[in-house]
Amino acid sequence: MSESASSVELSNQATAAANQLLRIDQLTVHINTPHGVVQALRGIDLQLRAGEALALVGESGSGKSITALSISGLLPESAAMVGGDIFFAQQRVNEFDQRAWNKLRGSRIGMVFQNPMSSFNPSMRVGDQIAEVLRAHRDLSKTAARLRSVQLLERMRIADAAARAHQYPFEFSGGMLQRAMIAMAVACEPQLLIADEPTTALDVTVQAEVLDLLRELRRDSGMALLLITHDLGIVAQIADRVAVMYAGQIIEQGPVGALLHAPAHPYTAALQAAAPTIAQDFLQAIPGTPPDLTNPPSGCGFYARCKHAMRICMDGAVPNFELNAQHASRCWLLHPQCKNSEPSVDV
Amino acid sequence: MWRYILRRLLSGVVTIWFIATATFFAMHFVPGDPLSSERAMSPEIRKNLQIKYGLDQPLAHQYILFLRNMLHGDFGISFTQQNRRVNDIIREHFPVSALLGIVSLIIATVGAVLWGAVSAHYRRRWPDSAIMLLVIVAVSLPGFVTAALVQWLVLALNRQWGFTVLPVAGWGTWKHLLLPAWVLGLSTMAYMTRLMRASLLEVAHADYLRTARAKGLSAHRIFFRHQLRNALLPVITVLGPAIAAITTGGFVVELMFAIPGLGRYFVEAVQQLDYTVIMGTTVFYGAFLVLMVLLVDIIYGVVDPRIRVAR
Amino acid sequence: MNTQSNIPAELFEPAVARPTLDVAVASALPFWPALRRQLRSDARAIVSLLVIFILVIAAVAGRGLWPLDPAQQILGSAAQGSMRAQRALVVRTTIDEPIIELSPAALLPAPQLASPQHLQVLEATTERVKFRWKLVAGAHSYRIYRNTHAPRDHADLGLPLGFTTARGQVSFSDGLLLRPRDYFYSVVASDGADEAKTFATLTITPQPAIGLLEAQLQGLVAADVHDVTSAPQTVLLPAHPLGTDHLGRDLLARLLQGARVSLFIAISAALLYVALGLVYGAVAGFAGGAIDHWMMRIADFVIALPFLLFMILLRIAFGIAPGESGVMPLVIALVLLSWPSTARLVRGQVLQLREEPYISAAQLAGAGNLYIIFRHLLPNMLGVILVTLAFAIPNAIFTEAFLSFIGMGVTPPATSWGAMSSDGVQNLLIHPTELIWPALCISVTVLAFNLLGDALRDALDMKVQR
Repeated sequence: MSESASSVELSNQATAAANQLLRIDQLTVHINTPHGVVQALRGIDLQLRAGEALALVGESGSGKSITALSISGLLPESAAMVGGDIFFAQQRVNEFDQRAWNKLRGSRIGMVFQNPMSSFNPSMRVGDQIAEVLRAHRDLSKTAARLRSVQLLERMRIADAAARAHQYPFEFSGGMLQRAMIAMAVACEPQLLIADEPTTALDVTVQAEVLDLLRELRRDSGMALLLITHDLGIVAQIADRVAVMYAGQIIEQGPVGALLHAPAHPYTAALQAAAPTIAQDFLQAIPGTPPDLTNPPSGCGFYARCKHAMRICMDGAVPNFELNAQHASRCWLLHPQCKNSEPSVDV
Repeated sequence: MWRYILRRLLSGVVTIWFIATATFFAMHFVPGDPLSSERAMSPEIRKNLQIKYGLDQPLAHQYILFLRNMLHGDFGISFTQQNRRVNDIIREHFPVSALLGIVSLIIATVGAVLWGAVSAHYRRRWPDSAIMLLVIVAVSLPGFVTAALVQWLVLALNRQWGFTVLPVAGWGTWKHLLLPAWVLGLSTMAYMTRLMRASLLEVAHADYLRTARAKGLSAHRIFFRHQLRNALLPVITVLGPAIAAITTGGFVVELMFAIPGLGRYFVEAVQQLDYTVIMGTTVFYGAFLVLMVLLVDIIYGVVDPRIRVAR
Repeated sequence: MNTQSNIPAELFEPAVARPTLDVAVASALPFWPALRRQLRSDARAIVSLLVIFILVIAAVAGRGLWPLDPAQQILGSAAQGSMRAQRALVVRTTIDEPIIELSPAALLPAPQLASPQHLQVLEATTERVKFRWKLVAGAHSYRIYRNTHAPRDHADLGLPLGFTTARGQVSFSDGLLLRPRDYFYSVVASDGADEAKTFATLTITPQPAIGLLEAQLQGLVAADVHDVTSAPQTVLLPAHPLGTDHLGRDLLARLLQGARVSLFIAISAALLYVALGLVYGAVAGFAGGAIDHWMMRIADFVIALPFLLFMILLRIAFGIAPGESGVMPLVIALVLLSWPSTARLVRGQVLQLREEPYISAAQLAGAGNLYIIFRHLLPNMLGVILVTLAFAIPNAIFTEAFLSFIGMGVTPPATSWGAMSSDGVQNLLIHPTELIWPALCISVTVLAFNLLGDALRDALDMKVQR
């Protein structure tokens, strides 16, 4: 019996490992610029289970997009991964060559970018651009791929899909094009969909349509979603978990409900206060600017802008305090010795 | 699309009319009448010409006569080569110029795409610097200097090796075509190489190239289908000016390589003040260039869906 | 984990001295200082500006820099390479009288022709070399070979320089492009049909000399001097650092004169047509509506004219026949045909700038059109205009060179780099420096302006980015 028990345990572990789709350990990325080396990512830890939706939130320049590009091996030439590991489905992707990446991208990892108008090749029919992914990863004939791309467009609720597939990107509206972009990204039924600010460039009404579509796709296919956004409103609608980034670090990570209702980090709280809601009459901007990452501060990155800044915040890395098994934050306020432990109250 | 072509054709006709009119009046303002130049001319020809062009008639009448002749494609008779019609001169010599021009345009375009791609690929490394240096030297050399230097070099090579590697002048075989076509296309190639490089680099930063990479396409497909195709569009727009540059550049190259083309004939006509040939050739070249620019525009429209579909 | 370790309590007290929250304000430099700073860090700009500066100085200084007359032909020293200044003997060139030695022995056929004996130098100046030898029995005439090395055997002699014409002539005089260097003259006897295989060689080093007439023409010797044999005199011949052309004119002097003409045409034409285009484009763009529409239609037509053909046509229309020099008509024709591209560019800029909020604000504040044009539009277009100008000059230089090359531009006695190149091409095979120098000048000038244009464009792009 003990044998079977241990084998059950083993298989549990195996399923747990298999469930884990993406693991990022201590990811560090530097970017060379004319003004010096920017430490864009400073030790990121992130996990994503299969089928889970994780939102990566932060201001522009906080490292959200660089994280996404690292996962898909699309870092610009000027950027380099100088430390850490990325595992996708138990495969370490750090040393992937172009061939291995090309097998992964488009097939097992789909990507949706911010600006649909510029993300489509202007001189190629939309249908052909979708069929192109299918032909690259699936053994499909030209006609079959074309047919499939029309079906995909239909599924994205694009009216008159057959005719639309024959059109060029400039003939589409922004929202329609973003749905076509999603069709392209999910054409090969990927395990992970990375959506980098998928609704930022769109009108509010169109935003809702695109979000609905993403939710529906996730429900039907069970793919994992890594959503990158600066909009906490979107996060509440679609994500299971949230990771908040600031100055190249994840400063808070937890289930969406807990994090939004009881933020542990002053920055998360400030971000929430800055987000427009109907109930609020005014917006509270966060004073100051993020630190210069060519020369990052040794202590907490938010120190200079934080209302609760303490002497300890100035120097040395801030440890990751675990509130519970799911919720953790890098803030000294969570230290048991600290008296002021409710940052969300008076922000 | 068809409406667009029709509209462009109409404006092309108006432009050709303008060129013909400008030519007529420019020639009319030549001091004295064009026939009273010091050139010796038999009285019969002179009389014939005077009747043909109605030089004794009022200006308006002359102008209408001129336009009518042009409309019928009749460019008159050469002043210096009696009994030779300008039409025959064009018919005989233009194909030579056209062949030379086409070959050099092909050399220039293919070379530019190739060098531009190499340069963009090795951006800021030595092959790029070398190509860019050659490009700026090439655009800084006048055509006749390049022609002379190339002739001089090849002549020295021929002498050194004891046989004719390439003929440095004359016309007849494909070998005769190579040097002048290359010389004629050189500055165009240099200019287009630069444009191609800039265009490729600009496209390299385009969002849709990131999309193409995110789709897991092969490097080959990304380059040819997504990068090169879009980078070629702005290069097509300069084909019009390139054809104009090659056409007029042909004058000097034909002269220096002793090629019996229309350009050389035109320069000789200018030197001999052969008015009918000058007028006829100018209007002919003007019309030719207008048509070429129109053709390039239409090609651009066909290649770029944004224009093809929108019109 | 160190989270549980004990940390001094005072560290959890509020921080006191926090860095001030300063917002970086981009400091915008005004146009000229910003441009100057950008250009100063660009090697291309520095080199090209230096080259342009030197060229302009050279063109302006002209004769002051190098006093030789660019039009003076010295046939005695045509198509020479670089020459230093040298003293030369003034000689009076007389008609050559060949030495005839007739003896019966010469008339009899000889079984074998001997090589000439007793070779003797009679004259050895760069004006004329003359030498004689003893009659060879049976020889009808003699062939003379000139080499710059000692010939090894008969086959090494090469082509003959000449031969004696009179029966019994035993002297030869040579005046063909002599330089002060060693020459090996070989004499071979011939019986009228066959040439002997034996020969005699004489080494002669001509002394630098100048003919009396030539020296008087150049003003080196007084006009009333007739006798130089009894009272020999020497004069100092000017140096030719770059050599001379096929007519013996000093290349450096001609290059300086050419620089003057070429740069004058290029710079004045470029300035004028950019100015015309600027005014035209600004008016069209500012007026808008139907005025704009028709003004641009006219510009379109002028652009459609085949440029070089109409350059030629206009020059003929101005009444300038081939072979006549007309610098001003060339400039006017260039301006008349080149302005539309600038006009289009400026109009586009004006249309774009007109939409800028500060222009509307100025208009609302009641500023006049002229004020807006001079205070707001022009300063903002300065960059574009500078770049256009930098690229306009090489275009004008090319056009001038092209027209001069086909004989429709600058012609003698005036000269330009294009006209000099045209001459140079004619003499390329015998005297390549005559093409190389003017071609180099054109290329370097065009290169300098092209580089300057590139550097300016990059600098202005940079300024836009900041």
